[in-house]
Amino acid sequence: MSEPRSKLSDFGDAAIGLLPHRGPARLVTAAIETGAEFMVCTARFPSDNAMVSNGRVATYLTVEPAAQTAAVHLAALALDRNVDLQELSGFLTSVKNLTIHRPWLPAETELRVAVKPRGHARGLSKYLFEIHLHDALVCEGELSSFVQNELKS
Amino acid sequence: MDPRCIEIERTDAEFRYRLELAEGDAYFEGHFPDQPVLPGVGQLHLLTQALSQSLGQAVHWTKAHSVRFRKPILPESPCELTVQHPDAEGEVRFQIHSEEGLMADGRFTIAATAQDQGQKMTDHV
Repeated sequence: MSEPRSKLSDFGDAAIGLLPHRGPARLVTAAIETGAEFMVCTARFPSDNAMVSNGRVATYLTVEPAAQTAAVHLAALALDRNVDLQELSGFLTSVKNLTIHRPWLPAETELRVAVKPRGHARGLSKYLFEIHLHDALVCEGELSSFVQNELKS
Repeated sequence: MDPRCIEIERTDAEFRYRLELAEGDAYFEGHFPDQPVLPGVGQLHLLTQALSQSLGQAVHWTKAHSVRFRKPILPESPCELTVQHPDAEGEVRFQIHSEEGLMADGRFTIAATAQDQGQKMTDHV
């Protein structure tokens, strides 16, 4: 009798471990929900992050935890396909249609980051994203990132 | 003014800045340990801080129409930022160049922060 296959949702936290970001650059803290067509993570800006000043961070900078959440989603999909990944390597390449609903956010505060894929081609992945603070939408937009790894088994 | 991003010229149309970060700079901490790269949002943060200084008031973003990060910016790699004066709606266009060519460019909209909220950006240039 074969082992039951893991669900995609089982790979969320393992996928976070594949991010190359370390120390104050690692903004994603936990995977909340994982699916083929979405990913939700929690994130926070630590007070020792270079972009935090006077205990707050400009809201447009939440593009970074959104990009990290998109990377976690890509890594979770790859793990689900049994791709042998040691670390995910990629770069944010573009941001479009960004709308910022409040100018500043407190550092060290949990944000809810939701992303939805909108297409993958030749290493380039597009995602829609929303950032919430205490159930209030604070930022939304579209990002693209380039991933250097081969993500197909 | 942040020594990493210094205004070197201003004209009626634009500000120009010199951007250079040392290898041990806080922006590279953890991004990434084996391959330090200035985060895209770090570029935008430095640019926005410099623009606030040039305008003489704190500003924040309200929208970004399109921003492209075309090539990674590495430590000790001097770049030149060109930022157009905000128009009457607060819209700003920018480009970042290095010896390698165009590194990033985009278009976003700013507003004055706090007590200067209603003031037009162009009043300060």
